[in-house]
Amino acid sequence: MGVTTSTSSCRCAPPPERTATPGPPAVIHQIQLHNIRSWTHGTVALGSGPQLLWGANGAGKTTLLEACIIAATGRSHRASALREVVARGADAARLTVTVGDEEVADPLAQSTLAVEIPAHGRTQTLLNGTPRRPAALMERIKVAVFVPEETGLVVGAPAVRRALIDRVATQWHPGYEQSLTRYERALKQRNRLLKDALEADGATRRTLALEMRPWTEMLVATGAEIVEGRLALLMALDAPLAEAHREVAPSEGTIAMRYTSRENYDPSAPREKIATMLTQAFADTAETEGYQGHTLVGPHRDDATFFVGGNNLAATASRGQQRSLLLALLFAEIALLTDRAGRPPILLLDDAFSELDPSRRDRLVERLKHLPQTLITATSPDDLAPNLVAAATAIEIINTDEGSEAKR
Amino acid sequence: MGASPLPSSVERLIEALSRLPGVGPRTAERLAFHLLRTPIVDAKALAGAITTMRDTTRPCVECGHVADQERCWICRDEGRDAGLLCVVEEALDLVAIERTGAYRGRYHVLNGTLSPMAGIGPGQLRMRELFERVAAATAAGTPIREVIIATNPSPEGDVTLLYLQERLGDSVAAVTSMARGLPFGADLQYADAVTILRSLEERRGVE
Ligand SMILES: [Zn+2]
Repeated sequence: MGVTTSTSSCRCAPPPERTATPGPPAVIHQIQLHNIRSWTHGTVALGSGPQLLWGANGAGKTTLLEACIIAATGRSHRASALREVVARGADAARLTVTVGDEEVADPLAQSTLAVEIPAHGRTQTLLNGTPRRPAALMERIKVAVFVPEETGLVVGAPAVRRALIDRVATQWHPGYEQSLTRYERALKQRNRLLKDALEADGATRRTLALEMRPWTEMLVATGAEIVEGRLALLMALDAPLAEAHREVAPSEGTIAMRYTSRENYDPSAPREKIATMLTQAFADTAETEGYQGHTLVGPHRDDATFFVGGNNLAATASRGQQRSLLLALLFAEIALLTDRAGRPPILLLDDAFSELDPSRRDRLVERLKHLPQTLITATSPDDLAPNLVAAATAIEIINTDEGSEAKR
Repeated sequence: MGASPLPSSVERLIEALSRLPGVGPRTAERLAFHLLRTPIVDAKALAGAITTMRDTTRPCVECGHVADQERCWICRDEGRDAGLLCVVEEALDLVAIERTGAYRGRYHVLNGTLSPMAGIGPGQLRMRELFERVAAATAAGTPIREVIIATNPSPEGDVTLLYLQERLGDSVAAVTSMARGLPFGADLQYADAVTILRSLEERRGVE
C-alpha cells in the first residue's frame, strides 16, 4: 500500500498481562447526573464498601450504575445509542463521575470523568474539565458488572454474549473501544450502501460497488482488531473462569468458553491471518449480501459458546447451572480486571440478589467484602441479606416531580 | 397546543438558529433572546455581515476554497508549487494548514467525506474536479508529483482516503496521507493508551 492509514495492520504484540503503571483510583466518590433519563439534576455522594441504592422501580437507581458503565466503557448496557439516555426535551445529557483513592479526601488526588451526550451530534468526554479521548477516561475507572440484561447469557441471543465480551474487552485492551466504534460506524455506512445498491439500476450499482470497496477494507481492518481482541480476552479468561467456576460449582464439571464464528478462527490466530480470513468471507458472501442488502459476515455476527464437562450449556443448562456460570464469569471478570489494573474494579450489581439463590448470594456477599466499593441496587433493603445491609451505606433513591434524587 | 406565546418573527429566528450545527432548540431560544436585547446597530451589523459574506464570496473554480474572485488567492499565487496538491475535507482544514506557513503547494477542497448515510457519494463531493485537475496537469506537461490526502482520521475520512488512493492510483507519482499518533510536544507519560498504541502501530524507521 502506498498510503499509511490508521487501518494498517499492526505488528505489535498483544497487550501484556499486567500494566506497569499504577491502577485506576479505587472508588467513586460522587456521581452527578444532568438530564439523563429520570434525573433532571442530581448528585449522589458515595463512600467505600457496599453502597446500597434502594428505591421503587423507575426511581432512577439503575441510571446511576449506567452512568458508571458509560464512563468506564463509552457505551450503555441499556441503550444501543448513547443519545437514548438524554432526558426528553433536553438538548444534552451530562454525567460526571468523580473517582479517587479509597481513603484520600484530597481533591487533587481525584479525577472527574465527564461525558456530555447531546441529543444530536457527537458525544464529548472530558477528564478534569479538559476534552480528552474516551480512552483517557477508561484508564481511570474499571467496573465489573452484573445486570439483569445478562441473566439470559447462556440461552439468550448472541447479542447478549457479544455485549458482555465487548464490555470486558474494552476495559482490558486499550484500543478495543476505538476499533469497535469505528467498526460499528463503518458497518452502518456499508449497510446503507448495500441497501442503496439493492434499489439502484445496473449502472448505479457498478459505481456503488466501487464505493463499497473502501468500506469493506475498513470493516476487515477494524474487524480483525476486534476478533483479535476477543480471542485474546477469551484466552486470558480461561484460567480465572475455570478457577471461579470450580469454587462456585465444584460438582458441575470443567467450564470452557469458546469463540464461535462462521470463519472458525484459530484461538491464537494473529491479526493478519484474521484479516485474510475476513477478506475471503466478504468475497464469499458478496453475491448473497447483494440480494439481502446488508453485511453478512464480521464480528457483529460472531458468538461465544459455553461448555461444562464437554457439554454445550445452551442445550442442557439448568437454571442452577446458568446461575453458577453468571457468578463464575463475574468473579473471573473481577480477577482479570484486577490483574490488568493492579487494583480491583468497582463492582456494580443491578438487582443481582433477586437473580441468585441463597448459597450463591452468600458467595457474592463474601466476595464483595474484599472489594473497595460495590454499588448495589434493590427495591428494598429487606431484599438483601441482613449481614450485607448492616455493612452497607444505604442511600434511598426517589423520583419526585423535579426528577430523581438521592436521600441519605 | 394553543397559539405560540411569541411573535412569529421571533419563532422564525429560533427555528432558523436551531438549524445551525451544534445548536439545539434551547440554545436557539437563548441566542434569539440575546439578539432581542442587544443594541439594534449590533443586531443589524450581524445581519449585514451574513448578507455581505454571501454576496461577495464564491467557491474558487480551481480548488473550491472560499474566494472573492473566480480563483482564490492561493490558486493565483505563482510562487506556489503546482506539483504538490493537498486534498482536504473543508476549507477550514485548509485554513489550519495555512496557519503553519510551512506548506507551499496548492489545495483541493472536497466539501465533505463519503457518507452513504448522509447521502454523500463521490458525485456529491468535488472528486470529479480533482481527477480532471490531475489529468489536465499531466496533459499540460506539468504533472502533479504528489497528492497529500489530509482527511480526518474518522471512519468516513479514512474511507475517503482509501477511495481516492485507489482512484488516483497510477495517475500520480505519489499519494500520501498525514501521519497520525502522538501530538508533537506531547509527553508519552501523559498520552492515553490508545494514542500510544496507534503511534506504535504506525512507527517508522529513523533515517
Ligand atoms: Zn483556489
